[in-house]
Formats: sequence, C-alpha cells, structure tokens
Amino acid sequence: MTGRAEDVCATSSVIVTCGTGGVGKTSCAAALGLLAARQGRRAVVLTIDPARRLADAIGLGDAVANEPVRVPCDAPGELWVAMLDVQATFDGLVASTAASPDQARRVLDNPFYRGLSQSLSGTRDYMAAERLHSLWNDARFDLVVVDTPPTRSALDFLESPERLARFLQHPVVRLLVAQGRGGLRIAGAAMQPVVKAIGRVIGNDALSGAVSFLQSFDGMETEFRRRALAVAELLRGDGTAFVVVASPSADAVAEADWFVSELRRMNIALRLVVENRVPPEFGGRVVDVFPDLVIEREAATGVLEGFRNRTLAAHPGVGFARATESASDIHDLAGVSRLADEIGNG
Amino acid sequence: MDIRHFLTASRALIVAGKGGVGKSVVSKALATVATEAGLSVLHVEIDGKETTPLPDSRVDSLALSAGAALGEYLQGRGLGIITRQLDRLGIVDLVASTAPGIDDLLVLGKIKQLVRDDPHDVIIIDGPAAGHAVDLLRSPRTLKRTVRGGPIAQQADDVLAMFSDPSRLRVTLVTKPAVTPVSELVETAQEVTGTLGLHLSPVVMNGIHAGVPAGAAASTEPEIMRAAAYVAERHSAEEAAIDALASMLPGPQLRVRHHLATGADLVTLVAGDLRDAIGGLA
Repeated sequence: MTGRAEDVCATSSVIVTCGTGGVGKTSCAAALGLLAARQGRRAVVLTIDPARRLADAIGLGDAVANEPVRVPCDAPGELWVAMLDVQATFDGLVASTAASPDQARRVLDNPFYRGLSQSLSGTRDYMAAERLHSLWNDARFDLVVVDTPPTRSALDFLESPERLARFLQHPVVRLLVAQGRGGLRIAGAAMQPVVKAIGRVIGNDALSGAVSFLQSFDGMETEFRRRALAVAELLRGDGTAFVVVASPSADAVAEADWFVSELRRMNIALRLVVENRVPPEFGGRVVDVFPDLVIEREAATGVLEGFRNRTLAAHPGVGFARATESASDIHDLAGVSRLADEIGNG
Repeated sequence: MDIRHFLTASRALIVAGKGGVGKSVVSKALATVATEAGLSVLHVEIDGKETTPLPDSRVDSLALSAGAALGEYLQGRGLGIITRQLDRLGIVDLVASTAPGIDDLLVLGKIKQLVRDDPHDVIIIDGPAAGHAVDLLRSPRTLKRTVRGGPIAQQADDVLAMFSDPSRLRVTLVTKPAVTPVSELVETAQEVTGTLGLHLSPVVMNGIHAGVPAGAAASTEPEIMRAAAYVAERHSAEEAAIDALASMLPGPQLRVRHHLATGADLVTLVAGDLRDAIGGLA
C-alpha cells in the first residue's frame, strides 16, 4: 500500500477526506472519485457538508440529493455523488430497526425525535457514519469517498458511533426509560436528583418528551449499537484511507497540522496529503512585472516544505500529491477532471 | 459615511462566513478600525482557535465556548451539588442531547447580556467557524420546538427579540470573490434575514486581486504573457463573482484587497481597506 493517489483510489473501499474550509476539499474528493472511475471502479462521493459545495464543484446545481446521482463522465468506471440528508437517513434507520411499523411510527411522530434529528450536530455525525456504511454495503459501488465538513469537528463522526452507543447506555437514560415504565424505585435512587435537576433546567415538558421518545425507542438501541460498532470497525479497517487536503497559507497549514496530529492520536495512518491551490510557477522575468505572483509562490513552497517534514515524521508511509491554483474556482466536471490529472500525476 | 456612526449603529456585530474567506481577520480588522476611530471595543471569539493575534492592545477580548456555557449554567441551576458527577457521568452531554442547541442558546444568552450591560462602545463578535454560525443563530428557534416553558424557553424568546432589533445586533457576512463562496453567502443571507429575522450590515468582499498593470500586456516574453493571462483570467472571474453578488444581494459591499501579509500585519492592512470602504459608503 503506497501513498500514491492512483494506488489509494485503486485499493481502498472507503476514502475519507479532511481539511479546513477554502482548501478545495470537496473538489479534491470529487477528483479522487473520478480517478477511481478512470481505473474502472464504481465510486460514489458522499458529502456531509450541508452546503451545496459538491453540487457547485461539479456543476450539478440542485440535482445532488440523499440518493446517489450518476455523473456522466468519460471513464470506464462510474462516478456517483450524494449529499447527506440527516432527516431521511435517520427516518430510514428507525424504519429498518423498529420491531414493528407501529413502533417506527411512534418514534417518528415524537416531537423530541424531530428536534433531535434536525438540529443536533452529533446526530449529523452519526447519520454520516450510518450513510457511509449503507453506501459501502451497496452493491452498486466499489468505493465510497466521504467529504467531511470543513471544520475541526470533521473527525467527530469517526467517534460518533461509539458516542451514540455510550449515550444509549447512559445511566440517566436507562433511568428515564425505567421511570416512564413506573420502575423508578427499582432504578438507581442515586440518579434521581439528577433527573429532577435536568427537569428544572430544560423544563418538564422537554423531559417528558425525551422520556416518551426513549421509551418508544426501547429495544431498538441494541440494533443501533450493533450498527454503530460495525461502522466504527469499517472506519478503522485496512480498506479505509484517510486523505488530508491542505492549501499553502499559514492558517490552512496550521489546520492541516491539527488533522495530521489528531489522526496520529487516534492511531489512524494517513495515506495521502493533497497540497492543493499551490500558486503556479511562471519563471523568466515574471518577477519584474508580477512580483506578487513570485512572492506568493515562494512563500507557498516554504510553508509546504515545513508541513511535509512534520507530516512525514508523524506518518512515515504517507504520500503527497500537488495541484496548482487555477485562475477561477472549480465549478464544473472539466475543472474536476483537470484536478484529477494533477493529483493522479503525484 | 462616518466610521463612528457606522460602527455604533448596532451595539454588537456578529461577523460570519464560511471557512477560508477570512472571517476572523475581518472581525479583528473591524475591531481595529473602531479603536482607531476612538471607540472602546470588546472583541468576542466563539469557540475560537486564536490563530491571529489582535494587532491593537487597546482592544479587549473575551472567549466564549458553547460547552463551557452549558456546564456553567447547569452548575448554577441546582446541578451544582453534584458538580463532581457532571463530567464523570457525561451529564453535560446528556442535557445537550435532550435539549439540542441548548449550549448554543446559552452562548447567545451571554451575548445578549453583554449587549445590555457591557461598558464598551461596540462589541465585535467573531462567530464560530464554517457552517456552524447558522446552527448557532438557529438555536433559539430549534429549542422552542422541544422546550415550551421554563427558563430556557424564556431565554430563547429574549434572544429572538434581540435578533429583530438592529440597534442591538446585526450580522456582517464575509465572502471572497469566487462562485461558491458567493452562492453560499447569498444562501446564508436569505436564512439569516428571512427565517431568523436578523438584520444585515453591509457584506465584506474580502481578498480581491489586482488586474494586469498597464504596460504588462505589451510584453512578448512567453513567461510574462502566460502570467498576464493567468492574472487577467483571475481578475475577470473575480469581477464576475462580485457582480453576481451585487445582483443577487443588492446593497453596499465593503471591498477589501488581497494582501500578501499574514498575522497581525494582515489585520492592519485589512483594517485600512475597511476604513476606506466604510468612508466611501453613502
């Protein structure tokens, strides 16, 4: 397993791209999917970012949704794109894990469930993991490229399955479920002041909403937990490759450094770094006419050299690919295709 | 427009923008402009990373974090007796999951308090990173769907009242001259002013590159011709994005040039451009 982009695309079943905003992470995710399609593989690019960056990057407008859409491209394989719809994914998960249609309806109708599924960022992370797992299981695809949100919290979704499993086993959650069944005396009395205090803070309305949600959810958590752990295993497995996308500004590299050390902390090997948006080199006497272009290019090269050394020290097997800054941002498949050429050439 | 008048039109400004557009630098530059105009300034960072220092030591700064706000609130509300257990049992996480958005709302509650009581002339708030700014601003509406009574619902109502009052709070959206950042800004603007009922102050168009200097186009050296073509293409793409924003979101734009500097030097240069742009507003 080398860190060349071609090899990463050929050998992985999941690629996770991380990077801060403005580095062109979404375009790079699409370019990696296209590289795989050129190798004859069937790739789907899943974007978790609620913004329409992926749709914009490939010029598909509103056509990108929860269900994968095939992008027409000139390659022996296939390129598909999908955008995470948290609500639809959560609804689907509830429907498939409920013991009966009746239980599913009780959960789906609960106002607490609506609030939970629409707003909680932890839910988004978990649903991203769930969606990744179902696309990975989908016989239509050989490779899932996950475009994570452009923030530090991007890696939260790696730990979200375990977090959800922990939440469902939380002593107070167990107590709330028991309390709804009238089993308060049996459940740990030590937790009762906590339940009362939570009621005071968020109001008894919200608390009883939560209780009836957890009750109608009862029994489903075993299946939720099983799936959560399966996703965690998939993300930790050999078939999953992590890619950091960086651009050569001081801020962006500081963020990339953070991702590099965070992956190291989580004991996950980084396979590939894409150094994107590197100012082009023109040579000749350009410095006399456009000094800024040369200064920017030199500053970028310096910043990236330090970043390479630090990254190699943390992840000895990592590969690097470099792509130049284009004069206008990428918003069609032709732009993604040029980016794929550069990344593929290493 | 008079700079003092511009900056004190609202008690507080929330600066928001997607990653990579220079939101933090712009918020610090606005604080610098205000200080240089003789105003006292409080610069607030929400879940900040502290990468760019403030160039002007006269600016006071404060950091707010959603997690800390929730922990503090719970301790003040009767969960204090079991403080030791709060972390160990993950009670903070539990409450955050039971009433989603509660931590964000508590941050807004703190801002509301500052707007009312803080002695500074103006408060500049560097919003949370990337798309989370909209989640933050959505939190009072989200919570009101699950929490109908009690202190939290009251807090949500008070925050929504502040949202609709431009003399207390407005939002400064930052973008850069490219297709995707501009379309994201327009989307955010629609939600912020529509559903959320907030008011906008002029948007900041950040990082505009210069075009091809006169005379350079005459060169016949191939390297220079290639560089000139690159600069010209970049310039026209940026002009197109600036025009697109103007047509989708009419109203004044504060235009800031692209600068090669970094850190505090960059903040100073951006502050200079902002001062000129504000001065040029009708």
